[in-house]
Amino acid sequence: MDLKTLTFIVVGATFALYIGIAFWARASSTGEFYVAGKGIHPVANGMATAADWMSAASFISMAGLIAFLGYDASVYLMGWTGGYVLLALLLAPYLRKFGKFTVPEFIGDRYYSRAARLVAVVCLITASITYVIGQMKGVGVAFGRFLEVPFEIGVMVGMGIVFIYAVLGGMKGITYTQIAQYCVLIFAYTVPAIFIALNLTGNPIPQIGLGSSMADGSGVSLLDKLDMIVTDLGFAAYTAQKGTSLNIFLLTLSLMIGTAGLPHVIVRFFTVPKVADARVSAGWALVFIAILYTTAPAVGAMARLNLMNTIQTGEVGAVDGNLVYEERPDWFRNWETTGLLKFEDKNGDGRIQYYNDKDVAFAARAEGFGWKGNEMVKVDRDIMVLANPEIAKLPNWVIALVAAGGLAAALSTAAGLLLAISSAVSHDLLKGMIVPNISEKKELLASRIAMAGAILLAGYLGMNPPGFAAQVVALAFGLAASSIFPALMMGIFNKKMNRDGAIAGMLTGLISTLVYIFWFKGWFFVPGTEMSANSPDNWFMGISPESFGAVGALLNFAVAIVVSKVTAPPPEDIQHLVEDIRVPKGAAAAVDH
Amino acid sequence: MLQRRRHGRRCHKLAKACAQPVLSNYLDACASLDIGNMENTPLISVDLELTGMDKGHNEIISMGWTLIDRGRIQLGSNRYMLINAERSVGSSAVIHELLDSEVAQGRSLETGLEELFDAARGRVWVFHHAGLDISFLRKACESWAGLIPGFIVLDTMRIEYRMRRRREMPIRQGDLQLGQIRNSYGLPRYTAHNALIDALATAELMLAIASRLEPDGILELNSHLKFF
Amino acid sequence: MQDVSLASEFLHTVPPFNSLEWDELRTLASKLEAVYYPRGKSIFSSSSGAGLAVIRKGAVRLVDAESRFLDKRSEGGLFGHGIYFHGELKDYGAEAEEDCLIWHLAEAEFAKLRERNPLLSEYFSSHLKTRLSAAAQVQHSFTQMRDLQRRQPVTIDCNASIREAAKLMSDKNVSSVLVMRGPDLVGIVTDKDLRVRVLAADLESDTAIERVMTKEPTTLSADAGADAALLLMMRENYHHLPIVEGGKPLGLVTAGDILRSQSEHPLRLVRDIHKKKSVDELVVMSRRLPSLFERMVTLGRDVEQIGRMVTHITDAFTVRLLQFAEIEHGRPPMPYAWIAFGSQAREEQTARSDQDNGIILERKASDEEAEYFSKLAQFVCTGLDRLGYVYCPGEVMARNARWRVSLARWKRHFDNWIDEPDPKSVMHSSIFFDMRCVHGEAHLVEELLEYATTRARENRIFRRFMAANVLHHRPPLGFFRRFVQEDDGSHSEGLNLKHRGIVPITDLVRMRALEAGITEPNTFRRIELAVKAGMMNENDASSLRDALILINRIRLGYQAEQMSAGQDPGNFVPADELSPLMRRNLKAAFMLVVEAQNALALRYQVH
Repeated sequence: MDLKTLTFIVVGATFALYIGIAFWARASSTGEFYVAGKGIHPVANGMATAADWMSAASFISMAGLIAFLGYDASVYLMGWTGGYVLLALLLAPYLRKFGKFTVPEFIGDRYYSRAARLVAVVCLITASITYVIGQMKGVGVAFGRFLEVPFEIGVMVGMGIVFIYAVLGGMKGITYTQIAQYCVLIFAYTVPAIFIALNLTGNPIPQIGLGSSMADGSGVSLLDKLDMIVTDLGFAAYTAQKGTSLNIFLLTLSLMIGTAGLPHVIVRFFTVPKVADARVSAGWALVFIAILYTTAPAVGAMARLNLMNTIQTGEVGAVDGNLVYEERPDWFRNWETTGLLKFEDKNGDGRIQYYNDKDVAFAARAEGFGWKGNEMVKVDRDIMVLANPEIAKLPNWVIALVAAGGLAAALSTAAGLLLAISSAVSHDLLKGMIVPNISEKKELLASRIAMAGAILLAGYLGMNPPGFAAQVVALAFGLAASSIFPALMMGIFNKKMNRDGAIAGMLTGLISTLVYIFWFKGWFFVPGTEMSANSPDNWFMGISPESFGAVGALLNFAVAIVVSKVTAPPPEDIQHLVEDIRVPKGAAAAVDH
Repeated sequence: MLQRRRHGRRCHKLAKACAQPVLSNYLDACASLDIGNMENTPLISVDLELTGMDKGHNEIISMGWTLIDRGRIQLGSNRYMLINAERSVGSSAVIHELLDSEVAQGRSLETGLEELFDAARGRVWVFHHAGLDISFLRKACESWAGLIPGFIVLDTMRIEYRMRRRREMPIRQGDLQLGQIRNSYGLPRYTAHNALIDALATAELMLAIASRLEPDGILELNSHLKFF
Repeated sequence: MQDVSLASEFLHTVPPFNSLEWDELRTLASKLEAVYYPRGKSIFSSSSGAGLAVIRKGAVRLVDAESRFLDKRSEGGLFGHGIYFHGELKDYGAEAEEDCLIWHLAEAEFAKLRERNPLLSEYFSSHLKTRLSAAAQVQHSFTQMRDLQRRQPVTIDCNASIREAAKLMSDKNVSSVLVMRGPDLVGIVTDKDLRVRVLAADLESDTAIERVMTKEPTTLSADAGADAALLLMMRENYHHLPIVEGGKPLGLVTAGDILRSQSEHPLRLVRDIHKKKSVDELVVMSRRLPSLFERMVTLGRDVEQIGRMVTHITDAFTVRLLQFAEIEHGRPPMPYAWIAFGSQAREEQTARSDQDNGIILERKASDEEAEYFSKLAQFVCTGLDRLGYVYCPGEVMARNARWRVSLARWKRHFDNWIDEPDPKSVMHSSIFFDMRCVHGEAHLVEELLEYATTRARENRIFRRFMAANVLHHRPPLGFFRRFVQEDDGSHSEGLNLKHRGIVPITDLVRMRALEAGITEPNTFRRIELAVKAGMMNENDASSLRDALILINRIRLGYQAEQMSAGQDPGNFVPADELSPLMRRNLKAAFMLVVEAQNALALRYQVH
């Protein structure tokens, strides 16, 4: 059976599974009135949470980033994991005690201010849409490859499917569907990794394989071998650190605190009735997330190794050391149709030269080989996870499974986010602030329109230059980190924090971060309006615009505390409320019966 | 047909002799009445409430009627009136639920008859069990106008009786009471006993019988008439 | 009986004519023509120009041009006017399915009638939603206060002295007097006021009467119906109330006056219950309930009032049983409140109801006191069971020690449910948030309700759990909006109108009530209050109200039918026993519920 048919079958089967579970859950939910349904086991809920958390970014992009950026990309790993921990430990339990399940709601009530709420809504919608962009891109890559169409068409197909999936809604949010999605996703991620690890190192566990020596009998460890190959071609060593420590630290921090507060995951913490159970399932979720996250570096490294080995078949500089273009493998051809992989025979020798022509020293050497520049003019990072099993020549069913996994990751996250976005627009913005007396029918209509709008926007940004999308990512995470996170923390841990302080702080964080980003990337990203070139030499203390969110957050804290000291304290009842939140409430209630 | 012509001549003669203009007009119309079918012959369905069965001693205490045009009962034409009785209502009050005092509030028999015959001009009478009511009307007319007018009548009881005989259906005691027959036609049950309700009930029954005898309801009337 | 009254009396029982004034009815009746159609005969082949037809007797089939069946109408049914079939206005023919007596109104007269009565016009020019609304609204013109025999009001000017008022009252031999300023009613003074506010307060008898009167007394509007008036009087315990039209008093009525105007009013039972001396006597009395219910439904009383009246009777039984219990076991050792939950609290009981009740004690009970209340609860719950209010399968009853606790403990019950809303807690809250004091210290109930409602309003996470629970009860519509029938547990299939029709609506409205912090349990009043609080859009509110009325009417009608056939009333109505029109209306009602549920899902991001 050819790969395309098999992919259709596997993807179709997983979809049928999700829909089947949704129907079964619906049909069996109306029981006798006095028979309460059973709760969901924390382990199951942990899996469902993990499925929500892990997006196309985790499934598709992270390993790709690691494959090309090397160790530096681990900040994404650390940032997102840290963000989850922050969410689980610092935020969710307190929001729960406050009885609010969205951040804008908390901020609006805690700071008794609609303006504060509005700022929070806008920041979160922006951050969420950015997140959806990543999902759209992932879906586009997957569909482009398996339908063998250009990437743009893949994105459009994906947009349609995501819209249907999110509007039907029924398949989303049912815990058992989520669990099924997690199973498909983790299976699809780890199985190829195991095969490849076994191939390369003889060790089936990818995490261990990464640190083992090659199975070719050379005794060289996998990472040393990879370092060797990439430096031979003028790329930076895989394990090298490329930015300043401060910048890496701040980027990690920005990602962490910028992620905290993403609406679709917070909600998951509130679907478990008992606080203790919520804690346990958060722990399990971390375990389930860790299975994928710890596999990612191995997948990245091995994919890079396999890719390099495929192209650089022999000695660097030898006449027959490079792959003949006409002999390229099928996966190479297939990815070329998507436009995500491009070859240009610059020196006309019919062979592929893939090297770093930006490295001055190596470029000079390459000239000596008769190379006229890097001929792999485009290698999209996001194709790595999907192409990996093909590069490693794994059986077709494994490749089909990965496609299903990628779609599961993208769909579950996108649907969750889109529901949150549509609810924020129709309920928080429209009904809450603009037209309080709107009818339910119009509210529903508005939510559909918001959802379609968000998909169109995210799809458009996903198709257009990723540079642009990356800037929006930076902006969104930076804004969330610098405006929302400090307001949340102070709202929970500082009972004296008042409305004026919080608003002043949020505005400070917001504006300083915006200005810093625009300074280097152009006002409102209009090219040519940059105040200075976007290079590490010009950055303030070597801090990149993407990392500045953490600095903005610090400014936010400082300004908020100063302003709150000189303005009227918050009302008594709010102060009591904040105190109550941090005192365990169940303690007193449990005694008497 | 012969009977019809003789009846016409009698009415014509009486009309000339009659001093009461309303009755005279009625008789005139009766003499030249053009009788066809249900659709083109106007009818008047009438019922009288009496203090008893004996026309010598008993009296009319109320009258009710309704008109049927083009085979349709005109509910707007419903009329009901109480008649001043000279003697006490007596025991029949139990049936009619009319007390002496109420009867006394009614109009005189003369004005009642005047209105009735005015309404009946140019129409065929419909009664259920015509004999009793006609005998009281004849007696009343005699003392009112000094003559006994003619009546062209459709008697629902008689028509139903003849139909059942023709179809060889058994007829038991009480089967031909108004309520019983109506029941067999699926007509609504009226609980009250009142001249108007009975007149209306008779009118409805007439319509029902007509459509039973003639599926399209446009019954030729001539063979069902009775002349008084 | 005069002339056309026979026809107008019948029309008076037929919607929408029952909302017409008598004069208009008589005019209408005088234009009618009665025609008899034997079975199978065509009445007309095209509805255009057919005027309006009322089925006096029999049944009629409405068919399309190809003689395909569209709908069936029976006694009291109307046809001839424009009718929407499957949402589409089409021409149709009519033929007698049984022997029929039909009253025709000519097209021209029909047009004139509609012109004179915009309400009728709206009824006949129905679209899906407006028809639903009209169908939900007809059937409630019973005796109005205006039509009642009234007592002449005894009035006095507000500047008169107390002495003058007292003299007037004793001269006229009345127990109350209306206080007027000019032509307007400004207050009322009763015997009791003179005792309490004058004699006991040692007031001079030449003080102006204005100072002791009850200002802005409760009044009845002249167009109030008898049921509404009676319920108000019984709830507030008024003996008599002034009837007011445009601010001017027309007279006084007593509950007795109203009851006398109704040959056998269900609320008479309430009075009788209080005269009974033993549980056995009550049991005998309770046997009248089924036939009473059946009559209320067949007489076409509106469902809101049926619910209230049935509940009033339950309340009366409960209170009487509590009085017996207090006689048998002695005075209660501390103040307490007997509370009703669920449908009794909401005043939405129907033919057959379980009992859901509990007790709030003023403080923690000692062992001895606990023993007393245990006996009291046992007595009342057993009594109610004997009266036909069977034990609650979930044991939500005062005889269960868990639901017989102090106010503080009750608050902690709610705290636990709200803080840790596991499925059982959520289920409990949906019962317990509908709470009403039936007997005893109402302030205990008010305090608890205030507390619980405030906590629920502040905690959106808890409400989200409730929302998820609400969405478990979906209307019985499947793909392409087809009805989904379920097995009723015995043999036949039907639409579960309670669990998939009524429960979703009361649940949705409860959510709104909690969002707005409304403590009122009755669904209709909750809707009203939620609109007032700006929590609900008027259109959404009227949609839900209409849907509730419609579904309930079908359900109650079916229950009444079952009871008259000697069966136990159930909540499963087989779809094929509904007329096509009813099915369409029902579907429209279900669609409204689905829409409201979708909006709820969006609001709380649950699916």
